[in-house]
Amino acid sequence: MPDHDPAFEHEQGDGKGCSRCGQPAVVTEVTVQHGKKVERRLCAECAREVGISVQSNQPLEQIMTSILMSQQEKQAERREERKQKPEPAARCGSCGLSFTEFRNKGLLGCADCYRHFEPALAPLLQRSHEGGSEHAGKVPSRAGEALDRQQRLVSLRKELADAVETEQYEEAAKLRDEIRTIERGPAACEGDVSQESDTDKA
Amino acid sequence: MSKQRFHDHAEWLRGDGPGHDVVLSSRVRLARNFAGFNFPGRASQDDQARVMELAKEHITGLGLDPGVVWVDLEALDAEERTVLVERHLISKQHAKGKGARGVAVSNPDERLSIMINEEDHLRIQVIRSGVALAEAFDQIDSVDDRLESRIDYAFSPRFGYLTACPTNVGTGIRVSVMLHLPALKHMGEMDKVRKAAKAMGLAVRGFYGEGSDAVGDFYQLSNQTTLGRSERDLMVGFERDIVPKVVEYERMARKNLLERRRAFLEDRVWRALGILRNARLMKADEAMEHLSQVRLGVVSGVLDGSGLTLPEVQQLLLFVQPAHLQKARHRQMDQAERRLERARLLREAMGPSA
Repeated sequence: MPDHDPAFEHEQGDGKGCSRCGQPAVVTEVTVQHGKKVERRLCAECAREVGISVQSNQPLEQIMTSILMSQQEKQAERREERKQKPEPAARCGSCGLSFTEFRNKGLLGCADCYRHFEPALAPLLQRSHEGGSEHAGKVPSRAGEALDRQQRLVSLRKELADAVETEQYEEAAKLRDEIRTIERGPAACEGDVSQESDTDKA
Repeated sequence: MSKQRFHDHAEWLRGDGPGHDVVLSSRVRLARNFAGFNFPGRASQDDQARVMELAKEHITGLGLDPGVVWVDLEALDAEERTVLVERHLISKQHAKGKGARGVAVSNPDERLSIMINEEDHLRIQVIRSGVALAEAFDQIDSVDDRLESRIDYAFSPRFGYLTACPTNVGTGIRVSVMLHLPALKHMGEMDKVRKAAKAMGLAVRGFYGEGSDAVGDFYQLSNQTTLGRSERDLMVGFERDIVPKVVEYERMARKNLLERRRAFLEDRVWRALGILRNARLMKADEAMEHLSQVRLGVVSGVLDGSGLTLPEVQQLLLFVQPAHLQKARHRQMDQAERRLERARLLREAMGPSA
């Protein structure tokens, strides 16, 4: 280690004062000058003035911000990498599962994961299904209709969450009823529709 | 509800149906998920509860014949849940799971069971004695059709039925047969069976499925591929090729033992019966090993005249399991007590020297 490299040791509030202003010191600067170890205790303010960052005293928000910043940087880097080599979107837009979490647990989080991770999943699927890559079996008779309803449900649930958040409870109640009606499916229309639709129209 | 009594005989141990000398049971299960909810492993507590509600409403609303018993697993204690595992009505994973989850079981035949909030929202299962894959498939297909007329399943045109684990995606179907292969084991042929199964893309598992050992020479053979192959295609493969071949192979091995090594076979069978009739302490796995030999004795005629029947022997396969043993004795026991009571139960059930 070169001679001039300073090292910092944090002090856990032992009451000793700052060697510049006498305030309680939070950091000790240790330098080696002419082969001798020299210690200097500093308070937070003086430490900042001489250009030492005092990590332990940083407010939590600041630390969080710096973590988030560095993550954003990492994400930006990853985005750069992806431009060269197609990688799955970092997280499923619907349930938030990351591809790494999927790799670790072997389970997907929701139906939309199949769409979000499709490029990365396709080769995995082929390997575990003896080359099979496309569904060749039963199709629900209402598949087309069902897919529409599926999309409608997803957007209604988002609207509901927004309504609750903005405290529009009347709107939220309406949305909730609509979601329940759709969830119940078309079979409900044959029998118990009378009880349900009355409240809708009221 | 939680005190619902189940019949002494589980469907898959009835001991009848074609090919019952080798095949205990045929099973088909479908993995299905509701559209618009995260899969159970990533669902909020509220969503899990909502899925339970919807499942209950729609499953009980089907008006199935025979009717189903709705079991809320959160309302059961650990022992009651284990009883369901031992009866192959729920998985170990489902018994241990967390949050709102349940099972609907057709009562009293226990042929149909539907797990709710296991790895997928629905795991529909139909089980039959002997070789009865076509019947099992027809029943499950009709239940699935009727559920699908009321529920939107998560489905994609490219990937089919969407499941939490990508190894189930597509048809979401798992076809399996529970085989009793003691003669092939005696003849040292099991390695060949395993290799052949692997070459056909099949998995070989033990009595209690994934991760369980092949205790008592019972093996489950099941498909592993669900994408790119239709249900019918898979069923035909099982019914025309796989099952008849394994059954024939085991029968040949049994014939071989009877004709060329009869003394060896009789010795194995009678020794096993002797132990079951006389032991004072018995572990569950050991009981399974001996019951397997006795089962071979009953179906091959070696035990003709002993008065033992196949349904009786198969019922014991279930009642030597810890939770069933406790159920039979109406009390909780520790492991040492269970060994004592298991040996007593076997002596009572099997014969003269009790």
